[in-house]
Amino acid sequence: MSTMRANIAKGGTMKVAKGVRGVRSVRAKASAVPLPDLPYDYGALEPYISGDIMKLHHQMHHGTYVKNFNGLLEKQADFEQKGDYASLISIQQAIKFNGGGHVNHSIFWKNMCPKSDYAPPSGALGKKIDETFGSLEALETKMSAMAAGVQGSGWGWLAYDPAKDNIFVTTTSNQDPLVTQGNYVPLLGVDVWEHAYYLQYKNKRPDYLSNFFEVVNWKDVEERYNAAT
Amino acid sequence: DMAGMDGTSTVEEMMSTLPTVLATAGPSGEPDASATAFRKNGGGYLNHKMYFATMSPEPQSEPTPGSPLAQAIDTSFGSWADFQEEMTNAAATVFGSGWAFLVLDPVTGELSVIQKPNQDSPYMDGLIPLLGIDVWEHAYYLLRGPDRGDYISAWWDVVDLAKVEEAFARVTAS
Repeated sequence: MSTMRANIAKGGTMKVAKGVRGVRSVRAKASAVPLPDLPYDYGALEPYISGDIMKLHHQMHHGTYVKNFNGLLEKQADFEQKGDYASLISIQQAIKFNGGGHVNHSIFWKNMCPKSDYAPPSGALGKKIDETFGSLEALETKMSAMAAGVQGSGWGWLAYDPAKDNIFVTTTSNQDPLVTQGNYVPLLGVDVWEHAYYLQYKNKRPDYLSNFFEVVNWKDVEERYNAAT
Repeated sequence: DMAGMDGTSTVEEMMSTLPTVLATAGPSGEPDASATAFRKNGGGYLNHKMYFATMSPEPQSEPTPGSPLAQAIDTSFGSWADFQEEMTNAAATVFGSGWAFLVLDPVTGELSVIQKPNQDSPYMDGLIPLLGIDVWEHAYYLLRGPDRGDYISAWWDVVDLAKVEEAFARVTAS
């Protein structure tokens, strides 16, 4: 009897040589991505962002991205299992849309907090903001201008570039995650799809943006910056 | 400076020169900023002009039987119902902001359904839009929230084929 079989017979652990793969399950499974809860009640960001918007935005929009993303992940696992790479590739655009929607909104909810918990940036990030933009106000003005200028649907971002050790403002379109632009770390995102503001601000995106900055959770942004640096 | 900005071209003509202008990068590699702005605002102007012109509170809901438009739709799509299904599907699957259009290819004479992002106009592809549905969220959000499918169904109830037939007659006459 081989050593391995002897071990199993004794009820001991089976040592598998490096590079030997375990038995694959007959049907590859993708694990389901959950819709994350908001860190606060739907009405907690009022009057800056309405409870109606937060509820629809979270349940309908983010909820739909998660539902679609899970379906696509299952399909992808299936295609991979079958070696059907053409089909696997054909769904990547949809994965970018829906998976990106999930990634972006998951950051967004945490990037905000009730006004009562608001505090401006401090510590290393506070210093970096002043060094880079001159002041918090200057950053907010620049980020608002860029986010307001997004054509159609997309996001405004405060991002960190590890290669240059600097922070900068940029935008992405639709639900493209920030990494599609380069090896950057998203610190703060603002959703400028019309669903993010239309019910409350109608087409006045700049008004929405100035109100958004009233409820930014700079503690969360600092944590992301500290983790990246 | 953009070709056609001397006041002698129509908005449609200027939109059709845009792909060339936009593809020609400036010294810094950026597309011409005024061309980009024109694409957004010129396209938005043309798209919305047609959108509002092709809806009516008392619409003709289908093409006149035997009319040139009805025949063209049958030739290109098989039937009116097939066209409606394709147009509805195109409108429903636009990701982000954009439009679905029924367009005429002036070279082949064929009709087709296309999607366009943001405020891009079919004129940019050398195609002539006959009917379009705006699926930017602003087109439906206040009344219907996120339910785009519901809005598309409702839009079909106000589409006025009489206007589309007029437009088709105009563009095919030239």
